[in-house]
Amino acid sequence: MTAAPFILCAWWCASAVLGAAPPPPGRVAVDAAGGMNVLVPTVGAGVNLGLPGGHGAGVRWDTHAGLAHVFTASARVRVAEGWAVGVDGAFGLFVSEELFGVELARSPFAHGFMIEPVVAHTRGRVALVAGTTVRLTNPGWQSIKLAVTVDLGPVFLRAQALVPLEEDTRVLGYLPMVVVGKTFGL
Amino acid sequence: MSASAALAGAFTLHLLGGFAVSDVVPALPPAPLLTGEVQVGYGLSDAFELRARYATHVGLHHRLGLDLRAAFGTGAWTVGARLEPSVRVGGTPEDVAGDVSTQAALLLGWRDGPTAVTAEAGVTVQWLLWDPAGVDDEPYFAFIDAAAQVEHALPSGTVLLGRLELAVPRAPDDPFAVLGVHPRVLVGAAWRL
Repeated sequence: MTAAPFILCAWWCASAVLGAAPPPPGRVAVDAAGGMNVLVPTVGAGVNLGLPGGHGAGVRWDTHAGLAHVFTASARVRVAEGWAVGVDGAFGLFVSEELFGVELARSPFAHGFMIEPVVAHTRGRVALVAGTTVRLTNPGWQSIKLAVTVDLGPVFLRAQALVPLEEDTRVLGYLPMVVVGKTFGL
Repeated sequence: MSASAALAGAFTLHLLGGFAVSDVVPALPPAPLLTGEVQVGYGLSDAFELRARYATHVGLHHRLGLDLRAAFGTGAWTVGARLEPSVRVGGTPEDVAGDVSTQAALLLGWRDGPTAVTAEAGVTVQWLLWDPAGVDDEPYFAFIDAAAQVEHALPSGTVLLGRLELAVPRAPDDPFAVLGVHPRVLVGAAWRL
């Protein structure tokens, strides 16, 4: 496989990051995480606020090798014990127009506004989040995602599989992202 | 759980993840690629184990195999062998590539209490290769394989694993090799189901 599809695949993951269930009302949870997104290093940080009635809201920033940046606002509501649903709105941009011959500015990935409905389930130390990303800029149904987060005590480990849906970038499989992070309660 | 086979009638689950280092983007230094695998083993007897194995590189290339293992020995030392026929497929719907291969290896294990070390040496033969350009059904002695695995059993029964694999391609012009090898580092855990 040539380099270009790999790089394009990497940018695909630079869409809104799957969040978690809302924290308790009045509590603020700050998280920071870093790892690998397909081929490139990725880091991100977010703040989530617990609101009355099982609601929650948050903002986060993620970058992939410093070349793609995604800013996300999220809303969550707890619908049952251990279950939450929500929606993320995100905006992604590139700081470079081209990388190794791949025209990033024309890439459908992390390019413009996106919206992502999610459902989250928590059981013990394991949280599962599933979502799908719809791109509003140059509209298209971009991808579906499944993320598993495991609470390892001092840190959490999150693995995400993203399945591209658009014809131009479809692959036989999924695109992985693995991060290790820490959550601080304020 | 590597050089030694699983107990007869027992199922085991192995989950491993890590990096395979590859010169996938020639304009950049060799890049670490996410890799991982899942193995489900079943002890056919006290000496033989059959494992179903799924391994992936960056979620784009997938290998499914059946790994038959044998292990013999008493005390600290164990000798064994494994034979794994497998199929690899990956790429994009318009650019499918893959192979049918068999890996055969000899294993030497040493155990001291909860900790075990296993060294592995073997070869991989590709029986069939396919890509958009066509199918090559000429058998090819593709890799010389070496691996080392360290295991540590926790009191809970969980076994922590660390594994280093080095596959030496026999093709002199392998574009993805790093210093002439395909290195792969994995960490993970195993549980009895």
